[in-house]
Amino acid sequence: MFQSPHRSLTLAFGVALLAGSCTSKSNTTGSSGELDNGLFHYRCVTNNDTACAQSSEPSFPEAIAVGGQFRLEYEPKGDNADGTIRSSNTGRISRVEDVFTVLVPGFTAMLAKDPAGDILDIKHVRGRTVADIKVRESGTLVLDALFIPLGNIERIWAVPFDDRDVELAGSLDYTWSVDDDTVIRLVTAANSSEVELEALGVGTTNLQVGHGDLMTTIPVTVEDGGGTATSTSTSTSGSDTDTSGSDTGTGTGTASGGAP
Amino acid sequence: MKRSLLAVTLAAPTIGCSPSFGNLEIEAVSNPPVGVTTTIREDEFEIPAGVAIAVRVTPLSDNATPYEASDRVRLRSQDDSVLDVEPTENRRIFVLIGVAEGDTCVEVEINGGGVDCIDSTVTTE
Repeated sequence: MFQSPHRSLTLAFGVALLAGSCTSKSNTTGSSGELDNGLFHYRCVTNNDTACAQSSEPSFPEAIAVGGQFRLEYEPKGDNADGTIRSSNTGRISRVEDVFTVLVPGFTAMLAKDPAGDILDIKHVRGRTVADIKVRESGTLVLDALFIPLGNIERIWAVPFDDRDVELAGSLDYTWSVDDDTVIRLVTAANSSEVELEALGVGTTNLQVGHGDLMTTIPVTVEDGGGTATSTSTSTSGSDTDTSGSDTGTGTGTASGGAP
Repeated sequence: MKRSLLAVTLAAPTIGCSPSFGNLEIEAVSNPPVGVTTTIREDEFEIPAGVAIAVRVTPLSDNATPYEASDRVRLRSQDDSVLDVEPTENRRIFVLIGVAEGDTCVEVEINGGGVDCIDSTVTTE
Protein backbone atom coordinates (compact mmCIF):
# COMPACT_ATOMS: atom_id res chain seq x y z
CA MET A 1 0.00 0.00 0.00
CA PHE A 2 1.18 3.48 -0.83
CA GLN A 3 2.45 5.48 2.11
CA SER A 4 3.48 9.08 1.66
CA PRO A 5 6.96 10.18 2.73
CA HIS A 6 5.30 12.77 4.92
CA ARG A 7 3.43 10.08 6.78
CA SER A 8 6.61 8.06 7.26
CA LEU A 9 8.37 11.08 8.65
CA THR A 10 5.53 11.75 11.03
CA LEU A 11 5.65 8.15 12.18
CA ALA A 12 9.42 8.28 12.65
CA PHE A 13 9.11 11.52 14.60
CA GLY A 14 6.44 9.99 16.79
CA VAL A 15 8.60 6.96 17.50
CA ALA A 16 11.56 9.20 18.30
CA LEU A 17 9.38 11.25 20.62
CA LEU A 18 8.24 8.10 22.40
CA ALA A 19 11.81 6.89 22.74
CA GLY A 20 12.80 10.26 24.14
CA SER A 21 10.01 10.17 26.66
CA CYS A 22 11.13 6.73 27.79
CA THR A 23 14.67 7.88 28.48
CA SER A 24 13.45 10.69 30.68
CA LYS A 25 10.97 8.53 32.53
CA SER A 26 12.82 8.67 35.83
CA ASN A 27 12.40 12.42 35.85
CA THR A 28 8.66 12.22 35.45
CA THR A 29 7.81 9.52 37.96
CA GLY A 30 9.65 10.90 40.97
CA SER A 31 7.95 12.92 43.63
CA SER A 32 9.42 16.29 44.55
CA GLY A 33 11.02 16.58 47.96
CA GLU A 34 9.49 18.95 50.46
CA LEU A 35 12.53 21.25 50.26
CA ASP A 36 12.31 21.05 46.46
CA ASN A 37 15.96 20.11 46.07
CA GLY A 38 15.30 16.87 44.20
CA LEU A 39 13.02 13.94 43.47
CA PHE A 40 12.26 10.87 45.55
CA HIS A 41 11.73 7.69 43.55
CA TYR A 42 9.78 4.78 45.00
CA ARG A 43 11.17 1.33 44.23
CA CYS A 44 9.68 -2.09 44.88
CA VAL A 45 11.73 -4.66 46.75
CA THR A 46 9.99 -7.70 45.25
CA ASN A 47 7.19 -8.51 42.80
CA ASN A 48 4.91 -8.77 45.83
CA ASP A 49 4.44 -5.00 45.77
CA THR A 50 1.39 -4.14 43.69
CA ALA A 51 2.70 -0.58 43.28
CA CYS A 52 5.04 -2.00 40.63
CA ALA A 53 2.46 -4.17 38.93
CA GLN A 54 1.82 -1.58 36.22
CA SER A 55 5.30 -0.10 36.05
CA SER A 56 8.74 -0.58 37.51
CA GLU A 57 8.74 3.21 37.98
CA PRO A 58 5.56 3.69 39.97
CA SER A 59 4.34 7.04 41.16
CA PHE A 60 5.03 7.80 44.81
CA PRO A 61 2.37 5.87 46.75
CA GLU A 62 -0.23 7.54 48.91
CA ALA A 63 0.38 5.03 51.68
CA ILE A 64 2.50 1.97 52.40
CA ALA A 65 1.33 -1.07 54.34
CA VAL A 66 2.61 -1.61 57.84
CA GLY A 67 5.04 -4.48 57.40
CA GLY A 68 5.60 -3.49 53.79
CA GLN A 69 9.10 -3.21 52.40
CA PHE A 70 10.28 -0.68 49.86
CA ARG A 71 13.29 1.22 48.58
CA LEU A 72 13.73 4.91 47.91
CA GLU A 73 16.15 6.69 45.63
CA TYR A 74 16.93 10.38 45.60
CA GLU A 75 17.65 12.31 42.44
CA PRO A 76 19.07 15.74 43.25
CA LYS A 77 18.19 18.72 41.12
CA GLY A 78 20.85 20.80 39.44
CA ASP A 79 24.18 20.91 41.24
CA ASN A 80 22.86 19.52 44.51
CA ALA A 81 24.92 16.72 46.00
CA ASP A 82 23.80 13.11 45.77
CA GLY A 83 21.82 12.08 48.79
CA THR A 84 21.50 8.87 50.72
CA ILE A 85 18.13 8.30 52.28
CA ARG A 86 17.63 7.69 55.98
CA SER A 87 14.57 7.12 58.08
CA SER A 88 14.13 9.94 60.57
CA ASN A 89 13.05 7.36 63.12
CA THR A 90 14.10 3.72 62.84
CA GLY A 91 11.46 2.79 65.37
CA ARG A 92 8.85 3.85 62.82
CA ILE A 93 10.51 2.86 59.55
CA SER A 94 13.50 0.58 59.88
CA ARG A 95 16.31 0.14 57.42
CA VAL A 96 18.42 -2.93 56.63
CA GLU A 97 20.93 -2.18 53.89
CA ASP A 98 18.82 -0.26 51.39
CA VAL A 99 15.46 -1.82 52.26
CA PHE A 100 13.02 0.09 54.43
CA THR A 101 10.21 -1.55 56.40
CA VAL A 102 7.19 0.31 57.76
CA LEU A 103 6.81 -0.65 61.42
CA VAL A 104 3.95 1.54 62.61
CA PRO A 105 1.04 3.42 61.08
CA GLY A 106 1.38 7.16 60.64
CA PHE A 107 3.71 9.59 58.94
CA THR A 108 7.46 9.19 59.06
CA ALA A 109 9.86 11.67 57.51
CA MET A 110 12.46 10.22 55.18
CA LEU A 111 15.58 12.34 54.93
CA ALA A 112 17.95 12.69 51.99
CA LYS A 113 21.39 13.52 53.38
CA ASP A 114 24.56 14.58 51.66
CA PRO A 115 27.93 12.97 52.50
CA ALA A 116 28.56 15.62 55.17
CA GLY A 117 25.36 14.64 56.95
CA ASP A 118 23.43 17.77 56.05
CA ILE A 119 19.81 17.28 55.11
CA LEU A 120 19.12 17.94 51.45
CA ASP A 121 15.46 17.10 51.36
CA ILE A 122 12.50 15.59 53.18
CA LYS A 123 9.72 13.24 52.14
CA HIS A 124 7.00 11.98 54.44
CA VAL A 125 5.88 8.38 54.02
CA ARG A 126 2.51 7.35 55.38
CA GLY A 127 2.19 3.92 56.96
CA ARG A 128 -1.25 2.33 57.10
CA THR A 129 -2.42 -0.91 58.64
CA VAL A 130 -3.65 -3.51 56.19
CA ALA A 131 -7.38 -3.95 56.81
CA ASP A 132 -8.37 -6.03 53.81
CA ILE A 133 -6.89 -8.23 51.13
CA LYS A 134 -8.60 -8.14 47.77
CA VAL A 135 -7.89 -10.05 44.64
CA ARG A 136 -7.17 -8.64 41.21
CA GLU A 137 -7.47 -10.55 38.00
CA SER A 138 -6.43 -9.15 34.63
CA GLY A 139 -6.77 -5.59 35.84
CA THR A 140 -10.18 -6.12 37.41
CA LEU A 141 -10.20 -5.46 41.11
CA VAL A 142 -12.20 -7.17 43.80
CA LEU A 143 -13.48 -10.55 42.92
CA ASP A 144 -16.46 -11.91 44.80
CA ALA A 145 -16.43 -15.01 42.70
CA LEU A 146 -14.33 -16.40 39.92
CA PHE A 147 -15.37 -18.66 37.07
CA ILE A 148 -12.75 -20.52 35.09
CA PRO A 149 -13.31 -22.80 32.10
CA LEU A 150 -12.10 -26.32 32.62
CA GLY A 151 -8.49 -26.71 31.63
CA ASN A 152 -7.67 -23.01 31.76
CA ILE A 153 -4.99 -21.39 33.88
CA GLU A 154 -5.89 -18.13 35.59
CA ARG A 155 -3.41 -15.71 37.11
CA ILE A 156 -4.52 -13.52 40.03
CA TRP A 157 -2.89 -11.16 42.53
CA ALA A 158 -3.46 -10.28 46.17
CA VAL A 159 -3.82 -6.54 46.79
CA PRO A 160 -3.74 -4.92 50.27
CA PHE A 161 -6.08 -2.10 51.30
CA ASP A 162 -6.44 0.01 54.42
CA ASP A 163 -9.70 0.66 56.27
CA ARG A 164 -10.44 3.62 54.00
CA ASP A 165 -10.19 1.48 50.90
CA VAL A 166 -6.86 2.97 49.86
CA GLU A 167 -4.65 0.53 48.00
CA LEU A 168 -1.37 0.11 49.84
CA ALA A 169 2.13 -0.18 48.46
CA GLY A 170 4.96 -2.21 49.95
CA SER A 171 6.17 -5.75 49.50
CA LEU A 172 4.20 -8.14 51.73
CA ASP A 173 4.05 -11.89 52.20
CA TYR A 174 0.88 -13.83 51.43
CA THR A 175 -0.39 -17.34 51.93
CA TRP A 176 -2.72 -19.10 49.51
CA SER A 177 -4.82 -22.22 49.89
CA VAL A 178 -7.71 -23.97 48.20
CA ASP A 179 -10.28 -26.24 49.84
CA ASP A 180 -10.59 -28.78 47.04
CA ASP A 181 -7.51 -29.32 44.96
CA THR A 182 -9.35 -31.63 42.58
CA VAL A 183 -11.19 -28.55 41.31
CA ILE A 184 -8.34 -26.01 41.40
CA ARG A 185 -4.62 -26.52 41.61
CA LEU A 186 -2.56 -23.65 43.03
CA VAL A 187 0.72 -22.79 41.39
CA THR A 188 2.61 -20.19 43.35
CA ALA A 189 5.96 -19.32 44.80
CA ALA A 190 6.18 -19.19 48.58
CA ASN A 191 4.76 -15.99 50.08
CA SER A 192 3.95 -14.61 46.64
CA SER A 193 1.28 -12.03 45.91
CA GLU A 194 0.69 -13.75 42.61
CA VAL A 195 -0.82 -17.18 42.01
CA GLU A 196 -1.90 -19.27 39.06
CA LEU A 197 -5.09 -21.29 39.32
CA GLU A 198 -5.27 -24.35 37.13
CA ALA A 199 -8.84 -25.50 36.56
CA LEU A 200 -8.66 -29.28 36.96
CA GLY A 201 -12.24 -30.40 37.56
CA VAL A 202 -15.77 -29.08 37.23
CA GLY A 203 -17.16 -27.78 40.50
CA THR A 204 -16.87 -25.00 43.07
CA THR A 205 -14.33 -24.58 45.80
CA ASN A 206 -13.04 -21.80 48.02
CA LEU A 207 -9.78 -20.01 47.48
CA GLN A 208 -8.17 -18.34 50.50
CA VAL A 209 -5.51 -15.67 50.47
CA GLY A 210 -4.05 -14.46 53.75
CA HIS A 211 -1.67 -11.90 55.12
CA GLY A 212 -0.90 -12.02 58.82
CA ASP A 213 -4.20 -12.49 60.63
CA LEU A 214 -6.26 -11.39 57.64
CA MET A 215 -7.91 -13.89 55.36
CA THR A 216 -10.07 -13.39 52.27
CA THR A 217 -12.10 -16.21 50.79
CA ILE A 218 -13.33 -16.30 47.21
CA PRO A 219 -15.45 -19.05 45.67
CA VAL A 220 -14.03 -20.37 42.44
CA THR A 221 -16.16 -22.31 40.01
CA VAL A 222 -14.68 -24.41 37.26
CA GLU A 223 -17.11 -24.61 34.37
CA ASP A 224 -17.25 -27.22 31.68
CA GLY A 225 -16.81 -26.01 28.12
CA GLY A 226 -14.63 -23.44 26.40
CA GLY A 227 -14.57 -19.71 26.63
CA THR A 228 -12.81 -17.22 28.81
CA ALA A 229 -12.71 -16.92 32.54
CA THR A 230 -15.11 -14.50 34.14
CA SER A 231 -15.26 -12.92 37.52
CA THR A 232 -17.80 -10.99 39.43
CA SER A 233 -16.68 -7.86 41.12
CA THR A 234 -18.06 -5.16 43.31
CA SER A 235 -16.60 -2.00 44.74
CA THR A 236 -17.29 -3.03 48.28
CA SER A 237 -14.52 -3.99 50.63
CA GLY A 238 -14.33 -6.66 53.23
CA SER A 239 -12.88 -10.07 53.48
CA ASP A 240 -16.14 -11.93 53.84
CA THR A 241 -17.18 -14.14 51.02
CA ASP A 242 -20.23 -12.84 49.19
CA THR A 243 -21.55 -14.67 46.20
CA SER A 244 -24.81 -12.77 46.00
CA GLY A 245 -23.63 -10.70 43.10
CA SER A 246 -22.19 -13.54 41.12
CA ASP A 247 -24.99 -13.52 38.58
CA THR A 248 -24.23 -10.02 37.39
CA GLY A 249 -21.53 -11.20 35.06
CA THR A 250 -19.49 -8.02 35.33
CA GLY A 251 -15.76 -7.74 35.53
CA THR A 252 -15.03 -10.23 32.80
CA GLY A 253 -11.36 -10.94 32.34
CA THR A 254 -9.19 -13.06 30.12
CA ALA A 255 -7.69 -16.28 31.28
CA SER A 256 -4.11 -15.26 31.80
CA GLY A 257 -1.53 -12.55 31.53
CA GLY A 258 -1.73 -8.89 32.31
CA ALA A 259 -0.68 -7.03 35.34
CA PRO A 260 -2.86 -6.60 38.40
CA MET B 1 49.52 61.22 75.35
CA LYS B 2 47.07 63.02 73.11
CA ARG B 3 47.70 60.39 70.41
CA SER B 4 46.89 57.58 72.89
CA LEU B 5 43.58 59.15 73.83
CA LEU B 6 42.66 59.43 70.20
CA ALA B 7 43.37 55.75 69.72
CA VAL B 8 41.11 54.80 72.65
CA THR B 9 38.38 57.09 71.37
CA LEU B 10 38.52 55.45 67.94
CA ALA B 11 38.56 51.92 69.36
CA ALA B 12 35.57 52.35 71.66
CA PRO B 13 32.87 52.49 68.99
CA THR B 14 34.32 49.34 67.41
CA ILE B 15 33.74 47.37 70.63
CA GLY B 16 30.17 48.70 70.86
CA CYS B 17 29.38 47.63 67.28
CA SER B 18 28.69 43.96 68.09
CA PRO B 19 25.06 42.93 67.70
CA SER B 20 23.16 42.16 70.86
CA PHE B 21 20.69 39.27 70.72
CA GLY B 22 17.11 40.40 70.74
CA ASN B 23 15.15 37.45 69.40
CA LEU B 24 15.18 34.72 66.79
CA GLU B 25 12.84 35.03 63.86
CA ILE B 26 11.65 31.58 62.81
CA GLU B 27 9.86 30.70 59.61
CA ALA B 28 8.77 27.24 58.48
CA VAL B 29 10.08 26.50 55.00
CA SER B 30 8.41 23.14 54.54
CA ASN B 31 4.85 22.03 55.11
CA PRO B 32 3.71 19.15 57.28
CA PRO B 33 1.73 16.39 55.58
CA VAL B 34 -1.90 17.21 54.87
CA GLY B 35 -3.99 16.92 58.01
CA VAL B 36 -1.03 17.24 60.38
CA THR B 37 -0.91 20.25 62.70
CA THR B 38 2.33 21.81 63.86
CA THR B 39 3.24 24.93 65.82
CA ILE B 40 6.37 26.80 64.80
CA ARG B 41 6.88 30.03 66.77
CA GLU B 42 9.76 32.01 68.23
CA ASP B 43 8.98 30.65 71.67
CA GLU B 44 7.44 27.27 70.94
CA PHE B 45 7.79 24.23 68.72
CA GLU B 46 5.14 21.54 68.66
CA ILE B 47 5.22 18.73 66.13
CA PRO B 48 3.97 15.15 66.07
CA ALA B 49 6.32 12.18 66.28
CA GLY B 50 7.48 11.09 62.85
CA VAL B 51 7.06 14.51 61.29
CA ALA B 52 9.91 16.75 60.15
CA ILE B 53 9.67 20.48 59.48
CA ALA B 54 12.41 22.70 58.05
CA VAL B 55 12.72 26.15 59.60
CA ARG B 56 14.72 29.20 58.59
CA VAL B 57 16.11 31.15 61.54
CA THR B 58 17.12 34.79 61.49
CA PRO B 59 18.74 36.31 64.59
CA LEU B 60 17.63 39.86 65.26
CA SER B 61 19.78 42.28 67.17
CA ASP B 62 18.28 44.68 69.69
CA ASN B 63 20.89 47.30 69.05
CA ALA B 64 21.77 49.20 65.92
CA THR B 65 24.22 46.58 64.69
CA PRO B 66 22.51 43.73 62.83
CA TYR B 67 23.75 40.17 62.65
CA GLU B 68 25.71 39.33 59.53
CA ALA B 69 25.48 36.20 57.38
CA SER B 70 28.84 35.17 58.82
CA ASP B 71 27.44 35.03 62.36
CA ARG B 72 27.00 31.37 63.19
CA VAL B 73 23.60 30.23 64.46
CA ARG B 74 23.07 26.78 65.88
CA LEU B 75 19.97 25.01 67.18
CA ARG B 76 20.57 22.11 69.52
CA SER B 77 17.99 19.91 71.19
CA GLN B 78 18.50 19.18 74.87
CA ASP B 79 16.91 15.78 74.33
CA ASP B 80 17.23 14.39 70.84
CA SER B 81 15.34 11.26 71.85
CA VAL B 82 12.28 13.54 71.92
CA LEU B 83 13.05 16.17 69.28
CA ASP B 84 16.02 15.99 66.95
CA VAL B 85 17.44 19.04 65.19
CA GLU B 86 19.59 18.51 62.12
CA PRO B 87 21.42 20.97 59.87
CA THR B 88 21.01 21.54 56.17
CA GLU B 89 23.43 22.90 53.59
CA ASN B 90 21.98 26.33 54.30
CA ARG B 91 23.43 27.35 57.68
CA ARG B 92 20.27 29.23 58.58
CA ILE B 93 17.89 26.36 57.82
CA PHE B 94 17.42 23.49 60.27
CA VAL B 95 15.14 20.47 60.28
CA LEU B 96 13.10 19.75 63.40
CA ILE B 97 12.25 16.06 63.69
CA GLY B 98 9.65 14.73 66.10
CA VAL B 99 11.09 11.50 67.48
CA ALA B 100 8.97 10.49 70.45
CA GLU B 101 6.25 12.03 72.59
CA GLY B 102 7.63 14.36 75.25
CA ASP B 103 8.94 17.81 76.10
CA THR B 104 12.37 19.32 75.69
CA CYS B 105 14.04 22.61 74.89
CA VAL B 106 15.90 23.68 71.78
CA GLU B 107 18.94 25.76 72.63
CA VAL B 108 19.82 28.67 70.39
CA GLU B 109 23.53 29.45 70.11
CA ILE B 110 25.02 32.37 68.27
CA ASN B 111 28.73 32.36 67.60
CA GLY B 112 29.10 29.61 70.17
CA GLY B 113 27.22 31.30 72.98
CA GLY B 114 23.80 30.26 74.24
CA VAL B 115 21.21 33.01 73.91
CA ASP B 116 17.83 31.33 74.22
CA CYS B 117 15.98 28.06 74.67
CA ILE B 118 12.74 27.30 72.85
CA ASP B 119 10.14 25.11 74.59
CA SER B 120 9.45 22.12 72.38
CA THR B 121 6.79 19.43 72.51
CA VAL B 122 6.46 16.29 70.47
CA THR B 123 2.95 14.90 70.37
CA THR B 124 1.56 11.60 69.22
CA GLU B 125 0.22 11.75 65.72
